[in-house]
Amino acid sequence: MALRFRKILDIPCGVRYMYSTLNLISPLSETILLDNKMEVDREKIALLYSNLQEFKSLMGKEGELNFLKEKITLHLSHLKDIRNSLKRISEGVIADDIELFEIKSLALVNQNIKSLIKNITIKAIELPDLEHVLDLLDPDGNRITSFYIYDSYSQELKELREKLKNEKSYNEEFFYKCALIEDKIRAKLSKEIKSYYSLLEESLYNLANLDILMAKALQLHSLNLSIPEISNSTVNYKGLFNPEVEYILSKEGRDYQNTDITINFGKPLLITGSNMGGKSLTLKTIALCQYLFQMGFGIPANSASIIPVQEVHLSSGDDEDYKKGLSSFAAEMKRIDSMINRVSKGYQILSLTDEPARTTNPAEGKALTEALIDILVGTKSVSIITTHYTIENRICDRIRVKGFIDGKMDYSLVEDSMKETPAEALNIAESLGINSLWLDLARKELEKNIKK
Amino acid sequence: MPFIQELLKYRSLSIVGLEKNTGKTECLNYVLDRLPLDKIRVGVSSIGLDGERTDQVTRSSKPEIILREGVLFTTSEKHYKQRRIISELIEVEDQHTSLGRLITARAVSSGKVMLSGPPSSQSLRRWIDRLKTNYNVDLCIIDGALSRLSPASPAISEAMILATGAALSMSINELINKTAFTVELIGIEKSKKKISDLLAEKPSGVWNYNSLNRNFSPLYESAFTLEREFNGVGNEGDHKKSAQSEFDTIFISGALTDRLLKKLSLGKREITKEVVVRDFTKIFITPLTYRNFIKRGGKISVLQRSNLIAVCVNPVSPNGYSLDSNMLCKELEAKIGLPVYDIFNYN
Repeated sequence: MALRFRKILDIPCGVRYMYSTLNLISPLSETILLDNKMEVDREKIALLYSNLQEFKSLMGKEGELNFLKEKITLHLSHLKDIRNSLKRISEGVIADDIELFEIKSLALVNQNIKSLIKNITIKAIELPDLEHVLDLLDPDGNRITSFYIYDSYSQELKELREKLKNEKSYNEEFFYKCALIEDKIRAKLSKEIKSYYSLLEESLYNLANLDILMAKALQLHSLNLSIPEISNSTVNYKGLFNPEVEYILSKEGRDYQNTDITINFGKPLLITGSNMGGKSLTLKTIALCQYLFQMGFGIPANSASIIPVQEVHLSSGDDEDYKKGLSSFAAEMKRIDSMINRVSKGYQILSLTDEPARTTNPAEGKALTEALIDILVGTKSVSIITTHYTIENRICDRIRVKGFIDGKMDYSLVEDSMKETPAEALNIAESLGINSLWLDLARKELEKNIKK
Repeated sequence: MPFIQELLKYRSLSIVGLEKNTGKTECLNYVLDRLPLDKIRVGVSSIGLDGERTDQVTRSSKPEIILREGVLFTTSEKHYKQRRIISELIEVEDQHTSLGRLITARAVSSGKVMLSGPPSSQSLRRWIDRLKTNYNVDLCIIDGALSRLSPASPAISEAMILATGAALSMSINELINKTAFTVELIGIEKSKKKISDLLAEKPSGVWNYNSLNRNFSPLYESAFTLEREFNGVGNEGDHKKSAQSEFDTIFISGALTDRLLKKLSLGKREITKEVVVRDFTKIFITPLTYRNFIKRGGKISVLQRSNLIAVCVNPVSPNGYSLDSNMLCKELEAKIGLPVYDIFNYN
């Protein structure tokens, strides 16, 4: 079952923030975007990005579309979700005035935007010609958003209505006669509009797509996102950042430190490093980027090349497992279990495991982590595992967070040749202002162990 | 022609009935029929559902709302489909009500419609604003009822016409007293004290307020749970002793009930604090409690006030009983000091 964007929003990796900064004009575009599936196919993703690339330059400072932005926005604000009405008409139901009004509004929006962009070549969007639909629903050629069964549809109706107007009091009989003729006209109109059904639907989706692409392109500029490359063998991020965390930090007047990271396909990457070094955030940000990539959004990095996967498995400790009645250990085991199941069935996945088996005793925890690395080696996966355990003699790439230097945290990720995990927990706890009595005792304990 | 000229001074008007079958629709039709449409643009809508062809309770036939050419009206999708008028649809709102989306249209011929409109005070206010800015409407008319339990208040309109009649009471005396009391409540003055926007937007609660430094502190959570005072909000404990006396106003966001008013005046010889409510529809007190409160120096005021222009009476009750129209009009006029009309005589 394909994952829809609506579902992805609820995954705690920051997609919702990206969606909230997307400035969509029409509620129709929102619904269509939320119903979109996560693309797995390489070519489809490539198409998404060639469209975005096109809009990036069109919406740029000197872009031709940039000058029309306000006008297009104004028209798009009248775009409504009328798919149900269209469907009814396509099934041969006679439309009422409200539905005819909706179709007329759509045709007007379509024609207005079409004439605005007629001199610009846009490959991604093709608006159909709905002039004929408009002529049907606007026989007087007023071209304003309003509708009723106009007098000019029928001479007989016109005469009857004049009589009706000249009557002093309300005349039920004349009104009834008018209503009969109006119904006939509605039936005729509905039948003719039915033949334009596919054009109308095309218009609806293209207008929504225009809205979505404009919003994505604007987001590229406003959040400093980049268009990624589609890769085969390695995933590579240069200057990776998390837009939501960056925003929160900037409000506090602090800077976000971008990181670089490379992951080889089929070879797990092990991240070690001190607490508070941003390991978990890195995993979440990479999950975020993967979803954004497969939905055709800009990627929060200076440059990125990403491998499409069928599924993303993010196992992170702060899920609300207790609601399912599971202990944190049980919940974690189940999550990793389902990931292993998928990868052993040959699915191409992104596997992000934050400190596996951290809540159990160190000896068994270490063994579980080492075994997990062994299982993932050589599979069709892009995998990252973070850990505090000292892992030896495994086939995997290793990086670590640079860590605490001169009382300041350096979040950059560097290659790690050391087999030992750094012991910085006490220093970091001290910088947090934790009870010194406790920390001093712990330090003494540690020295005793080393002497042994 | 009574009170039509007076209406032209206002931007919005609500017509409210004290009870069902008090001739509210007749009154609305009377107004709609006589407004000079060549001079002003008029828009009509309703609070909640209105314009049934037969009375839903008594099954007697009811007058329908009759619109003339050029009038704008807003109603729900369901009722728009049932209209018996030629009208040009000009807007479909995204917001859904229980009867579908709201449709705004312009009457092309004269005819009959059922009205059902924005469901809350805020959406009603938005409706008025939209009609003014988008379609240059000069006068927005709201068909509303007091007896109907509706979250939307007709008091947001500048002017008001009150419809009363035999349906409310069959005794002329009681009818006059009840109507006069409502008129008195409608006439309650707007508070001269500036209530801060922060407080006016509070959705619920009874608040202590200082109009000079604009401080406020919670008093009760709601008028219905008087015992439970606020807890855990700010440094309320400190406030209580030292600052109680510095507050000069009590603001009630929801309903002003008998019980609340009694509690506020309990054991006090003289009441110095001013009680402020949103509008008169939020006041649910008996005349006795009200007079008692006023006598002891109490003052009630509102944030929003409509100008009551006229009172219309329907001397016929739905079960056929009829009161003496002339006597009723005269006595009521004498009591409230406002013009009273029997619209049925004019129609």
